[in-house]
Amino acid sequence: MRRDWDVVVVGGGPGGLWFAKNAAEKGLKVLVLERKKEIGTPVQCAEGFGKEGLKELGIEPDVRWSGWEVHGAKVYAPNGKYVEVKGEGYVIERKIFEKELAKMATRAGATVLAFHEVYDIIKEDGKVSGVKARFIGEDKEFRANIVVAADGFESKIARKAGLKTFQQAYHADSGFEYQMVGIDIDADNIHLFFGTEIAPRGYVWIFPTDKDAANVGIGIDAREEKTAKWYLDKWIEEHKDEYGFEDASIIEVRGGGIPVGGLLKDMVTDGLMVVGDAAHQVHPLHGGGMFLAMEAGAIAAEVAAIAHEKEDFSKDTLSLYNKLWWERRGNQLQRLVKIRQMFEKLTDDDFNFLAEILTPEDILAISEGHWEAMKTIAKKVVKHPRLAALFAKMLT
Amino acid sequence: MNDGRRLYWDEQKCIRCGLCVGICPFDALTLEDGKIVIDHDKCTLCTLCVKGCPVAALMIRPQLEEIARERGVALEA
Repeated sequence: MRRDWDVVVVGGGPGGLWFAKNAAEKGLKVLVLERKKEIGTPVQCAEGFGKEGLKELGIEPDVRWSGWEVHGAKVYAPNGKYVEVKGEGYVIERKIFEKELAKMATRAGATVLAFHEVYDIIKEDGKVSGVKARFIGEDKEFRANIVVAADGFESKIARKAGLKTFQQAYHADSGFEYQMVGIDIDADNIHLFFGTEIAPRGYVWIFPTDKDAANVGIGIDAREEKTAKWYLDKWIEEHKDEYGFEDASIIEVRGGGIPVGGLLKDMVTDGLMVVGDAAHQVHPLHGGGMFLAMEAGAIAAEVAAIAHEKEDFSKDTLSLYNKLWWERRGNQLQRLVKIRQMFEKLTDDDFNFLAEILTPEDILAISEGHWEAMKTIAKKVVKHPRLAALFAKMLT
Repeated sequence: MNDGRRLYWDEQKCIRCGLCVGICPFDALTLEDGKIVIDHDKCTLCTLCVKGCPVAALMIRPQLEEIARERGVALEA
C-alpha cells in the first residue's frame, strides 16, 4: 500500500467522496478515511435528490440507488392549504448511493478505507501535514500535502486545525426521522408541512420511498426546549388517520444536526480545506446538503489540483477555493439565510395568507433565493402590514 | 464548572448522530467508538447540546446522582 498521499480526506460522505473522485481524475493520489464501519451509514437524511442536480454533477441515475421517483412538492400551510410545485427528482437509497460514489472514486484512482477513525491532525511548522487514525486497535499515521475535512456536522478536524467551524446554535436545526412502511400517501410528490406549532422554524416532511412508504421527518430550531422527536411524534399522532400511520412499520430511525446557516467566509488554512456539512454548506431553507457538498467537493478538487501543480499548499493558494465557492454558491446561500431569517418570524396566520397568494413559481423562486422575485413577492403582500414590514426589512 | 451539576449522557436514548458534538462551542464533547465522551473541565453547562439533541439523550443532573448511577449505588431519598 502506498504511504504518501497528495490528499487525505476525512469523511466518506458525498462531499468527501466526490472530492476524491474529482481529484483522482486530475491525477492526485487521494485517500478517504471514513469513521463508520460501512460507507453510507447511518443515513441522516430525507434522501431527496433533484434530477437537475444529478445532471449538473454528471451522474446518470442508476436503478441500484435511484429509489423512488417523485414529480413535485406539495407545500402546506398550517390550515392545510397547499401549493403544488412541479419538479423532478428521486428519493434515493443513500446507503447504496454513497457506496456507488466510493466505487466511482476508487475507479478514478482514489482509495477509500472504512472504519478508520481520525482522532487528530498532524501539524508541522504550523501547517497541517496529515492525520492520525485508529483502525481496530491499531494506530496509523497518514501524511499528505492537503487534508480535506469532510467530517460532517461535528466538524472536529477543521476545529483542530484552528478554524472556527463549530455550529452556532442559532444556525443549527435538530432533525429526526422515521422510515415508515404501510402508510397511505400521495407518493408522486414530496410533502412539506409548515407551522409554528408543527415545527418551530422548520417543517415536517414526507419523502416517499415507495407507493406505501416514506421518510417521515422533521427539522426544528435546535434551541427549542422540546425535542425534534417530540414534535414529530405529536404531528404523526395528529395525522394518523389521514396518512395511515397507526399500524405502520418503522424500519429505520434517524437523526442529526443540520447546519442551516453560519456560512464560513474562510474554509481553508495551511494544508487544509473544509467541505460539506463541516463547512455548513447546506440549503438554509430546506436543509438539503448532498448536492451542495458534492459541488463544493468538485470545486475543492480543482483547487487541490492547482496547488499540486504549483507545489504550494499554503492558505494563500488554497483560498482560491473560498473565492470560487462563494462566487458559485455562497452568495446565493447567504441570500437564502436572509430569507430563512424572515421566515422564522412568520406566524401561522402569515403562512396561511402566503399559501393563498403565492404561486408555484413564487415558491420555486424563494427556494432559489432569487432576489428580484422576492421584490415582486413583496409587492403582493403590501396590503398585509406585518408581512409587508418583514419583507421590507429583509430586502434592505 | 463545579456547582454540583454535570452534563449527563444517556447511552440508552442516544442515536449517535453527533449533533451535540458539532454544536458545542467549547469542544467539550467527542464521539469515540460510538460513545459520547464529555470533558467536564471544558463543559460550561450552557445546555446547547441538551436542547439540540433530537431525542433528549443529554441532560444536566446533580453530580451526586450521576456518580451514584455510575457506581450502581442507590441514593436515599
